[in-house]
Amino acid sequence: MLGNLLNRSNGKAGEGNVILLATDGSKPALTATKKAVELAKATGATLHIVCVREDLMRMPLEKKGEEVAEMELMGIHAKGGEVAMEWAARNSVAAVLKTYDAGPVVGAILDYARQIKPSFIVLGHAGRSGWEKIALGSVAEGIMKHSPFPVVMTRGYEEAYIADLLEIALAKLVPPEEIAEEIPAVSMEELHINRKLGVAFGTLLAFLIPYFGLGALNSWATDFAITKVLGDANVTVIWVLLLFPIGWVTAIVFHRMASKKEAEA
Amino acid sequence: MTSVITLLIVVGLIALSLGVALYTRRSARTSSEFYVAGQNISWLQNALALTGDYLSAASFLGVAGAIAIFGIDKTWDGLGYFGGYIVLLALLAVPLRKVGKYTTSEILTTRFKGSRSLRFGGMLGAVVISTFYVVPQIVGAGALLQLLLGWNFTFAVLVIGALVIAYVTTGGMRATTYNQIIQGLVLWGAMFIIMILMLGTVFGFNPGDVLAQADNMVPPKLASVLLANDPSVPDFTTLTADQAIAFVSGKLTGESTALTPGTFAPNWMNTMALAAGLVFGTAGLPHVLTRYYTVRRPKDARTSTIGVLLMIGSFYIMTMFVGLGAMYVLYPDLMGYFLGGNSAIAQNMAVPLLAEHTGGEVMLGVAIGGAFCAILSTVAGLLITIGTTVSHDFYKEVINKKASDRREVLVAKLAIVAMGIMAVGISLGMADQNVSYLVTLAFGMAASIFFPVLFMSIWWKRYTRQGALATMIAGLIVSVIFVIAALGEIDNVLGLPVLVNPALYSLPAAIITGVVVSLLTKDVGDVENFMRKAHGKTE
Repeated sequence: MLGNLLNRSNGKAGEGNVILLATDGSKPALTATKKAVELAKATGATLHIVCVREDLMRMPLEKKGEEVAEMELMGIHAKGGEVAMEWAARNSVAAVLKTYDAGPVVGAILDYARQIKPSFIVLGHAGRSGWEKIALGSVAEGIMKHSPFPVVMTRGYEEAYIADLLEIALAKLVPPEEIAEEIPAVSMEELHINRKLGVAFGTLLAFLIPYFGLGALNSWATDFAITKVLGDANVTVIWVLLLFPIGWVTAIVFHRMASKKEAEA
Repeated sequence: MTSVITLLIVVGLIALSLGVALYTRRSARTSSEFYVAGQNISWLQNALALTGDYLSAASFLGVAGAIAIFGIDKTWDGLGYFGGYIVLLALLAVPLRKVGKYTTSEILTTRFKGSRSLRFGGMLGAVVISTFYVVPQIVGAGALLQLLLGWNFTFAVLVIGALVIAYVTTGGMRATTYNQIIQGLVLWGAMFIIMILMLGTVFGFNPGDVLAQADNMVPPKLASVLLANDPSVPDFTTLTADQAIAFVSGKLTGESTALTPGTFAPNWMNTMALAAGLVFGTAGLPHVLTRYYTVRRPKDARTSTIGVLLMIGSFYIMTMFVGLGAMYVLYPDLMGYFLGGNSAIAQNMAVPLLAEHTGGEVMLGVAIGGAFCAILSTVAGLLITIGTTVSHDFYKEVINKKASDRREVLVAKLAIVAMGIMAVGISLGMADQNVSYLVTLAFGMAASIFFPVLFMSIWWKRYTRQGALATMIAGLIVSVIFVIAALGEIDNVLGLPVLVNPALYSLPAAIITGVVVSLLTKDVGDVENFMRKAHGKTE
């Protein structure tokens, strides 16, 4: 059946048949990797490997909590692209690696698929069910649902089947993400700390003076504070209502000044 | 007890909010479309997440509720919450993002490496501030359940405490950020609808009429104190709003009106204490600082903050009109609740009651549902911040450096449960307090414990390790003493009058102590590298 799919020759003219493997370096993905390389070798197809890094808005603890929960399904978190490239090389299969730095994962895989027009896509099903599936969704099912190309899906994993790939994967584990300790190579004078503080305070005072001014007005000039100036609105009411646009303008002016200074630097 | 329709709307709104959040979170993984341009809107997502985190029960129930009983003087709460973000924007947002650390402990130990005492101080400060921030949320939720289901306050607080802890420790943690985004929109929208309905049904779409009525009313909190023992006071629940206002105004001729400043903070010391505590407090709130973790680029920290300022500024302008309008519409009810000894409802329930008055059971459901969303999102953000600081900053760094991720997550969850239980216990004794007032106390503590130490660490090269520790200790001790005195209704401490916010004493105490100790000591830490990170160009 897969032979038939390959004979449909979806690959670009002159490039032969193409198989697309999507991998995240988990044990289910290693199963898919092994299957994809087997198929590519058997049919002489070029293997394209796509890896997508999930870049979701998450707090550190949210992220850690998810990773701990995910590990139960993934079994291992290796650099899937590198593992697949090495396994393909060992099996003399021509392979190309494509990585995306941000998801959505399903969208990125399909984006690449539309570019290379594979004969079919191979990927592993992690086996999410129940709450996990509701909360996080299943990439495999997303691909099945939306892919315009045929999909070959491997389900779960068997340690014995992927033992040789696991060996490679264990040597290519994804290290714990460290926030890059990037220290700009500039002298203290070049930082212009005092000037930056001056700009910050200068713009801040544009808000703080009227802000604390309202306190002074209410405390020491109460008669003036309750003088009506616009219909039934007294000085305090108008002052309060003006403080919000003053704050917005202050923030925008500060942003523009800071951006300009940074551009100059 | 309210109707089934209201209850269904409340449950439906919460389910919808959580459902949309889950869907959004899920689509971030499974969407079939891939837009690179999507990365450019991250600042907007962050602005909404920050707004959802920030707009708590204090903002949704407390600010308008406090204006409804005190009048214009209580617009300080909204103004201060708003102004705090300008301080954060100008002084801390971008340097913190550039340093790449998001809890006070981590920021301090990036400059003053290896300091266990600063780590412990940072964790302790975060726990104290966040506890005082969680308590009003639970008090607000308890009062809501009282109103919605007619439950006893204690039972209501126990139920909501259990629900919130379960939400955060089980599924909630996985989608919290996306909940914040949705809930920020829900809250803003709910307040807007309530304001439009109120203006349409009561004031002929004329905001000037709201001010005209406000200028004729003695604020209910003030009036109820002055008329507490007056035998001629009628049963307010039998009067219309105009009759009730006319009776009180007749009895209290010459008293302050709802547009007169000074009804809550009666002199310059109280006013300045409140103003300072609020405007410098935001920059020291642990869950606000941590939220900048999700901002991708330093430049986005500024644009996100401006987005927040637009959202919350317009929100607090609405609360002013909603609060003053609620005072007019609910005048007999509020007087009745105060004089009938039911101040828990009078203090915090003006927004839901106004919604019911102007939009019936459906709007009551929207208001209560919106408030629950506010509480859920803020408490989740706070508890996760506490979990992070206890497990990562303290347990992993001080107690067990070899702890696995699994162990760290477990410790975080245990910390969340412990803190949740502690907050529920404290909440039981706070039933009669306005939730915005309680939150202002947390702001006062944040302004004293964290703002000065962060500000000086980031901007002052001569600041020392000992100075940083002294700053936090002074801020913590002085603010906690004056907060306890304020809640215990003690008039003065060591001859100093107890004010509505501790910041007038604790903020200068923290700064002066930090400066003096720094000038007397020499360990400025890894100042050069820290300053390069905080102020160098890394975009």
